[in-house]
Amino acid sequence: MNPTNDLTYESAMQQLESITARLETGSLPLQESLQLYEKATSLVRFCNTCLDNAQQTVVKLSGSEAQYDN
Amino acid sequence: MTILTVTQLNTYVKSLLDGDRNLSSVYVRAEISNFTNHYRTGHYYLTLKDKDAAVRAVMFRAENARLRFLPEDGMAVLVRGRVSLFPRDGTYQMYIDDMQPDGVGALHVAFEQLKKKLGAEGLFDESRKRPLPPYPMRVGVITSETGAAVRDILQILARRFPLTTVVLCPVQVQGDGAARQICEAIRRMNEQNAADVLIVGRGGGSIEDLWAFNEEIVARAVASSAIPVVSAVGHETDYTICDFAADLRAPTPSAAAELVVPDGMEERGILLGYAMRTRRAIQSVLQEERLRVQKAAHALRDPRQQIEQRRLLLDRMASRADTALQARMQLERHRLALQCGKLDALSPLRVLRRGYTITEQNGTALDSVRGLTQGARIDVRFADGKAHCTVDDTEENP
Repeated sequence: MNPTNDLTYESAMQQLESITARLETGSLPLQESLQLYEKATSLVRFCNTCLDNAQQTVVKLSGSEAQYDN
Repeated sequence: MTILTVTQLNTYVKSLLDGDRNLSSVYVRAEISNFTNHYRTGHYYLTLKDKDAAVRAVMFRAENARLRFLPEDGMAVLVRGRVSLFPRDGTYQMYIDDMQPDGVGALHVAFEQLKKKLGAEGLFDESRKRPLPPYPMRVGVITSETGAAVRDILQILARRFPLTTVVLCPVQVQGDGAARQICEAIRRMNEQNAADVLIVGRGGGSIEDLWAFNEEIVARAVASSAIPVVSAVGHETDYTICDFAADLRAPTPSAAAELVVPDGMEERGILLGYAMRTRRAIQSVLQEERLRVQKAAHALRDPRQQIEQRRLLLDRMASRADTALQARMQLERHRLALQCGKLDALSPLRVLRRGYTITEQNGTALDSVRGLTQGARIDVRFADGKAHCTVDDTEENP
């Protein structure tokens, strides 16, 4: 799986949770299990990279400057 | 000149005081001293004073039961009541029918009133509280741009979960217009769907400083926000109406920042947990597959074994047949030899050995003299050879 730019940390975490749960049932065909495992591994890598590279972004609500900045 | 009794005097003065319209309902600002809550009657006895003067006062139980606070010495109050005279002591005093704490106390009363009103409307109900999103990618912060609160919030969000974008909406948090600006900010955050969760608040201050967060319009804006709101006003001990209306009250702005985002370090731990769980799961899947393959391989080996077994059986049967055949042949050979012996015993050659001979003519044994004529050629067979003879004469037995 290739994490796209659209993937968010939250949805990656959610996917990880459900994939892990599915894998743990142990009732999936081998091929599917391997694919899921690969996906889980890449999601973990994605999340870790997110945390590694995160830099705080601060934006002002559009339109707020004009009214309240002084 | 009329001479009065003390009672008459006091009664007269009392009637003067009671008849004065100005004294039938007066407001007095004063400080309380000598406060006594009469243990048996429940009436309050106190002295009202200012810097230079004092007057006795009483507040009967029927009136003081309505007070939301217990008066105490040194408390600044605003009282309403009438002035009359207590004939027994000849002292005039104030009969209080309402009392409010002066200054701050008025806000306190307003606070209690609003809290009661909104509470009755169900605005603070637990059922209205929504859970915060576990991973807010955008945290809206509505507070003063210059206060310590915004600095603390940004710092903690950056340390814990820098993935989150902070959407700041600076507002005035105290003074005229503060409440309106806070409402406006909440409204715009919702309108633009600019955040996943809102922190509304400010740092510590006096009750007057925090007052904007006790305004009804703010409480209503917070309660009606589609985006979950965390209220973070003042210090741990400060409670505001905004706190009650919010989905979650944080004791301080810093605490609000801690509450709205997960902790990066914990996230690492969670990720590690997932990595380990998935590895364990895939290993167990692989182990199971291996077992299945082994079982399948075992099943494949089976027919070969059967063939082998049958071959062994066959070999054994063949060898048994062989043995039986051999035995049979042995027996037959034996019987043949026996037969040969018997045959041998009957053989005419054996008779010849005992001295008998066989007469043959042209290879045929003769058993009668009849037919032989003089000069006929015959052979006499002995055991060890033949004599070729010529018949001289014949003679038949009589």
